[in-house]
Amino acid sequence: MSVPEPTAPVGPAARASRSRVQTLGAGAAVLAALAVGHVVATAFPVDERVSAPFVRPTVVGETVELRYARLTAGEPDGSTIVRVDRTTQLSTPGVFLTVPLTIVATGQPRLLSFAELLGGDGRTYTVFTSGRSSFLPGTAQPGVPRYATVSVELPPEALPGAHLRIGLNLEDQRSDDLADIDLGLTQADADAWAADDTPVTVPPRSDEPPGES
Amino acid sequence: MARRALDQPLRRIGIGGAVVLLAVTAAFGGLREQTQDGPEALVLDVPVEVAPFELTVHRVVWTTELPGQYLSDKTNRWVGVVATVRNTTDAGVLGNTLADALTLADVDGLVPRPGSVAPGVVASSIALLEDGSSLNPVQPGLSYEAAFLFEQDGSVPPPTSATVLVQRQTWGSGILDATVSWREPATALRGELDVREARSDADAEGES
Repeated sequence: MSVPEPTAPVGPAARASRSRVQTLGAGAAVLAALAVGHVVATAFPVDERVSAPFVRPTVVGETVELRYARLTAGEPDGSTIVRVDRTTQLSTPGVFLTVPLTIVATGQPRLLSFAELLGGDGRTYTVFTSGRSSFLPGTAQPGVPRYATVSVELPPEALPGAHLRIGLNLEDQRSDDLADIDLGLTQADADAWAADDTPVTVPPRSDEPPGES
Repeated sequence: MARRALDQPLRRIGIGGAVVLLAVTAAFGGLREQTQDGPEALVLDVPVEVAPFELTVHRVVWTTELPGQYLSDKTNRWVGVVATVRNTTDAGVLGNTLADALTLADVDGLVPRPGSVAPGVVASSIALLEDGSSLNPVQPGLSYEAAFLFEQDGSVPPPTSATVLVQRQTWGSGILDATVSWREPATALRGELDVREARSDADAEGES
């Protein structure tokens, strides 16, 4: 049986040196991890893809299933004059486009409030809950069809190829369903509506179909 | 060395600090010659580009009655800046951004509208001349004839001149608010313009 060799005593200077090496090593590891994380985050635009809305394409007359509602767009109409809620009449140097929508909420009452129009000219036309371009359908109860009309003011050249987008939240459409409706509009529609001064109507939002309320 | 620095009189440390600060800012253009002394002069009927709009100011008028517009006190009056408005971006802009783009100053008794950081007093409403509706949203690709309406206390005499301030805004997010929007209105043009009483179309035809 051999007797273990007594190890040399470790002095305070050697301990301090080892501790400094460990600290430097840990610091270098943290910096390396941060650098790798930065490269990964910037090389792959993960954030944008994760937060992008789930765009559900559809066309006029075809119902699209969204997480929060079933949505159907009716035939678009247009003119240089729009009559809103039978009381207000607005005129425009461009065109007022109106699109009737039928909303059937699923699961719970839903208040859809986001709309925007992607023009065929590449521009985005803002729709607010009130004003000259508006969408305010009110609360749709589950299973009860809700009828509301989107009204958008835009120049005629934006009409051909325009898409209407409808979503749940006015401020934030990230990571949620977004209906993208191809309105099927042509240059002929744009020319006809830009020369028309017969008002198009935005009927009051209702649980009754337009014309029956 | 640190002890020697601490032994220096406070004034010398202050001067040294200022020199260092100036040297640091010089690296970011701190010593570059200032290109503009202040806002440019606003001229009537000349279009000006002030992101996100092009504005052409035509006239400043006052009136006590405007169909569809309601004063907070019946004895008050409207001071209106009539302008052509065009959104020069690729997306619609809401009316509050337009309100920040043109403000009024040097008029006694203007009723302030809270909630804006723009210099001057912000319009109570912006009405389209065509149909009297509120100009909101402002869509791209269209030219609108509109009146920026400011409410003035009726106990003060109507103004004979007013300073119109035109602001340029910046697209970006705030320090505390990550939402990207048009922000930080900064006066790009200012003009001291004559103010006259508004005439109806019938009055104008009678004079011509």
